[in-house]
Amino acid sequence: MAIQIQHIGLSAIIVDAGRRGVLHQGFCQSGPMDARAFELANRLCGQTNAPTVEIMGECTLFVEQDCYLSVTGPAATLLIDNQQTDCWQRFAVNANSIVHIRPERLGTRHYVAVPSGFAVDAIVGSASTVKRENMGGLHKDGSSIRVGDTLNVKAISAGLSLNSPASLPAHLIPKYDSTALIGIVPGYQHQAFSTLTWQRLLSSEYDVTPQMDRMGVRLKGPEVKSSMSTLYSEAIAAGSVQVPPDGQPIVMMADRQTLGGYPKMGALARCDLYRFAQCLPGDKIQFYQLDAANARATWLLQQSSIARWFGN
Amino acid sequence: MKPFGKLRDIQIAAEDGVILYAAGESLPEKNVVIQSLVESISAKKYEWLVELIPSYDSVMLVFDMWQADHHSVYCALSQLQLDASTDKPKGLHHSLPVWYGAPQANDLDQIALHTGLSKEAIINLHSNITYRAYAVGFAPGFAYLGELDPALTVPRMAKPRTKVPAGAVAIADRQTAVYPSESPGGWHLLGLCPIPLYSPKDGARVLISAGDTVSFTAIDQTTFLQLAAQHGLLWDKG
Repeated sequence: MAIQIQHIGLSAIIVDAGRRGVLHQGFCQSGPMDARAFELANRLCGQTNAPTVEIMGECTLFVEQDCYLSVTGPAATLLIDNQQTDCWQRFAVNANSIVHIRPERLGTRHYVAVPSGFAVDAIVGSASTVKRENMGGLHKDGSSIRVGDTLNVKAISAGLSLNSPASLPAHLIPKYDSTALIGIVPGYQHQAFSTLTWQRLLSSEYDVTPQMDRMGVRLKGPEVKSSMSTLYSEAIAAGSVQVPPDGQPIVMMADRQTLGGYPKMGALARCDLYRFAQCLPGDKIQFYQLDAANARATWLLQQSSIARWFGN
Repeated sequence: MKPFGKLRDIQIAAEDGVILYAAGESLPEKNVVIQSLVESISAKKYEWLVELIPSYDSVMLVFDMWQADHHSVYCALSQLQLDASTDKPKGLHHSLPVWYGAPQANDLDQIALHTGLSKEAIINLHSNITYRAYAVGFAPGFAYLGELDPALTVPRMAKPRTKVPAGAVAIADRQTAVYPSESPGGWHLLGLCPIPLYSPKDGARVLISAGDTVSFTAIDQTTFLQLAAQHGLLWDKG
């Protein structure tokens, strides 16, 4: 079973859930930018973590044999041989069909999954594409999928059950409303930022700037400066909000470096980080503060309701 | 969270992470605390532990939110019997050969200008010390080694190079390192090491871990080429 890539708008890369237990060796975490859409694409295909394609911009696929697919992400038009169908479900595709995905907003990330996943070798425990390390992905060197590439699908294992739900109830489909507040959990050097500075962060709008990639997203807005000048480099958690001397926060994303020496106010809450990852330059975001226990509980509740729907 | 033992501070890093900061008079002293902490934590093989990332004076733990929370992690850590006698962490020692002044990686002239030292003195100062790997980061297998003799302190380059060759031995501030793979870099270069620090094809193994010790020995071009060939590295002669 194979799928051929006929057109790529901005980029298409292989991602799985990313690496685990190797960050102390200097390997970045990697994996999907929007972990929620990634997980749901996989869940709809009967698994939780298999290699999928993360696309940006339009994408056209040629499906050689009968198969199932799922596509998740923010609003997009999905066509199978010019017949419109819905994202956020598992759908059957006949042999020799053309699947076309056209995101409504240029730059959002969408996930294409197949039952069993795409056959891509893992290195340091993950098939994810890591450009900055020249590792992983379809070509094993961190490079993106190119037009004309063929993606092989892993043989469907006997144990894989396509009895799992092929669709999602409305409440499990993410809303991607960029005006919804984004949670920040105070941490790290949060005490080095004054109460006034914290109030400024929480009461202001921040622009998402074009300086964004899989490593980090630079924001622009009222300055938030700390009283700290020197800091030994230390481990950077997913979603960390670090503040360089110019006072403009940078949110550290999937391919962030493992260590860094800028003061950090805390980290974005996991229950909102996937949504933040879908923001585009020019979007205005606003933060709210929540404590770690609350953030953890919210995330666990969301994950439980997903697991419950899929019956495990 | 209230610090205990030889810790100066404990902070939440994220909803699934906690970061511990070592107390101590000097960086080497703090780093010893971190290393013994890492050893004690690793030995426990906690099921909930996802990542354990040490650095200069800190270590971050990332936990599985289904199995733990900050409170349970704090309780587990505060019950650790930290061996007070662990002044010498049990890291490995690596003796790395260096072809100092290799033409592909040679800033000895600029370093001599900065420090007022002769090339021989620079090489002697660099190879006379046993360094400790304070942290591994920046790129896979990139180990920050310290501390350099104060006389050898040079600032980072004003304009970083876009390409530093794999194996380049470099210095910046009071640190030294070997570039594991070709990458951009702003450190001054002393020469080349023929031992791979990181082999992406070989299951992506990384040679140096935080807490290990490293020393450098000078070799000549002929020995370099022999060693490089043994390790399957190809270098242009000259």
